[in-house]
Amino acid sequence: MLSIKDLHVSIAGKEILKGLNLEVKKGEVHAIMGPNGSGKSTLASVLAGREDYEITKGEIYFHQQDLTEWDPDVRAKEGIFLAFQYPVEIPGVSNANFLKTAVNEIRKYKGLDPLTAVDFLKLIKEKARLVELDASMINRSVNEGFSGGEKKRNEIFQMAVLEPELAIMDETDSGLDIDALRIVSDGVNHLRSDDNAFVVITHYQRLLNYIVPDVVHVLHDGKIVRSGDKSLALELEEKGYDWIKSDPASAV
Amino acid sequence: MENQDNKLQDKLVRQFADFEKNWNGSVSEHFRNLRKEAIHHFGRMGFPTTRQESWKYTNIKPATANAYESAVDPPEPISRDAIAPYLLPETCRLVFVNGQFQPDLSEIPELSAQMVVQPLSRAFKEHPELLEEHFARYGKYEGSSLTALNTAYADGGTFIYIPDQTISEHPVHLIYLTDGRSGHRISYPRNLVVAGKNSQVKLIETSASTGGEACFVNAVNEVRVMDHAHVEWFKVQEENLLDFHVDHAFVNQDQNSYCKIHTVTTGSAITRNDLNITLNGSGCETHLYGLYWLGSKQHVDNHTLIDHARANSYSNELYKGIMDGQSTGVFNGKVMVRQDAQKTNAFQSNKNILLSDEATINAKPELEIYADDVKCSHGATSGQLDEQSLFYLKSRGIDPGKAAALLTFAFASEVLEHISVEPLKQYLSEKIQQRTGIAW
Repeated sequence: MLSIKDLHVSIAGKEILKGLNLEVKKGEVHAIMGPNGSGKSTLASVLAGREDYEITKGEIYFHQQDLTEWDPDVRAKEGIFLAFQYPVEIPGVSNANFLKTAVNEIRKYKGLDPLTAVDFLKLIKEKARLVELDASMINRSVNEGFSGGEKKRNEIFQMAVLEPELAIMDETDSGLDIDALRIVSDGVNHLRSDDNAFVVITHYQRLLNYIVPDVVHVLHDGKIVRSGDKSLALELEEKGYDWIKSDPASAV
Repeated sequence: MENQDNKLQDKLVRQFADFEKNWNGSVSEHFRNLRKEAIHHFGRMGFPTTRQESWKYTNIKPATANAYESAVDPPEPISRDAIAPYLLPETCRLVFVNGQFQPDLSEIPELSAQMVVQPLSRAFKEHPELLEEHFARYGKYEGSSLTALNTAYADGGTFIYIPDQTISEHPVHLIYLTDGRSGHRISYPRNLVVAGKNSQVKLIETSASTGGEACFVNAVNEVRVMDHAHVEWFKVQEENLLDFHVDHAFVNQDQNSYCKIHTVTTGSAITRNDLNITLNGSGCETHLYGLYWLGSKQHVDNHTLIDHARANSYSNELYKGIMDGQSTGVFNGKVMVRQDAQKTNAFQSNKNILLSDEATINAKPELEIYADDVKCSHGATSGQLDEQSLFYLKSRGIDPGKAAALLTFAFASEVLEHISVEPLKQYLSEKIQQRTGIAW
């Protein structure tokens, strides 16, 4: 589904990703772990199409198509979703209008008729239940005045409504208390299927107790230095990132 | 241009003699003298020019270049269809065309006891004492030649009197339609609102036009808000793009009164709004909201003055602008806090979005503070739509144009939120949605 080859990315002339390779197949959950500054969020931003990042070398394919030339909205329409580390507050636009616009834009792209108001409401209610979001928040402005946990739940809620093929979660666990973490994880586990894939970016192993990954990668200094199964996350938790930093060679 | 300017000025001064003749002794000596003094004042001062500090960024020469016929000409018949787009349910409605009252298009329901809502021309005859007490008392023309011109000619407009302890059940909706179909027209809408002690009223003032030749609207509004009275006033300015609109408003608030004014401007080639709010008593509350959305070569100039004369008052001001095309805007917000006005809280904010590289805005907050125990703040911003927000919307599959439209609508809706007349809020919200191209 997703194939990243020798990816080099710079921001403001500084190289952040230095030859990253990643293969994600349908039905898989990949965890990407790494210390601060290793390039985790850069990877998420580049996949979503944030404009300030420059790809200096390498390729990104989504279903064998080069996605680097796609605008952010096209990536979303093609089935890529980024759950933001810092979701943006948009006063004056209600969650309902925002999501309805998004759903119908994506449907239009796929040649489908827009959802009726009734069907949309049904969809919203069903998905809100999934992440235990209060229905009243549907009519509030996007993320405005939401707590950190509510914002993250809102990200997963949007993910549930838009049903992407590839979901990238950028440190969704940061700042979540244990209850919110459980709700978010339950939501994600519910959405997992043989037809979609998740890339879970996290600093801590904790989230991976709830969302159990098929593959764990360790990112260090712009490259994936080690990959393994879920036990790698536990090992990393135990030994700390200094283990990787001090001996990146042992990774290969 | 200088010539044309003087030409119109001379013509308006000259025509006053004809206007005077039509009175046939029906006007009291008090008003005869007042109007004469006013026209002399206008004759001496002439139209404002950019050499005056308060008109520095607004050149009204294009407005004075046309050979306007006086608004006393009988207007052509206006059909109901022409006002249909502006109608709101459950209001007390008065319609004026080129300043002339249109009884057939108006609808005045039975009002609370002693409450008066009538054309000013009739009020001069039926309520001379009230008019002598209040008319031209708040709107002093000495500082404004256009107010003087209005004072000389004003008879088209509305007198609203809410007695003490009275609550106006329906909002009063004043529709001023400019009809330029048979040539250039100048009109002088003049509203006088007296809200008695502990009374409440909501006013909606729609300024619109039917098209035709360019017209000039020179409006003056006077509002007296007595102790504990509550006045909300919504100004919707949507004349066509050839027209010129100047509006001077003078609001006097007594102690513990509340006044909220919304000014929404989307029309006219040139719009100038002067809001002068004087807080004569302590414990007053004042809210001024403004929204302007301009394109092509439109120009808007909002001048506000809130004069805190006594202690413990609160004023809050939020003006937002969306500027497209080669439009130009001015926001000049002055807050005066006099020595006696301790414990004043005064906040002011002006935010602008420039949708085009060629649009410009001049924002100038002016705080003049003579008391030492006050909280005052002001802020002005202008820029583009927020990149982070745009990216967030796009990342959910919303195409760039629609994302920009959503954010533009959101920007405007912060002002609309404070409109308490639900059908009006709906009307404006739909208008803004249409303009952004959003449909949901």
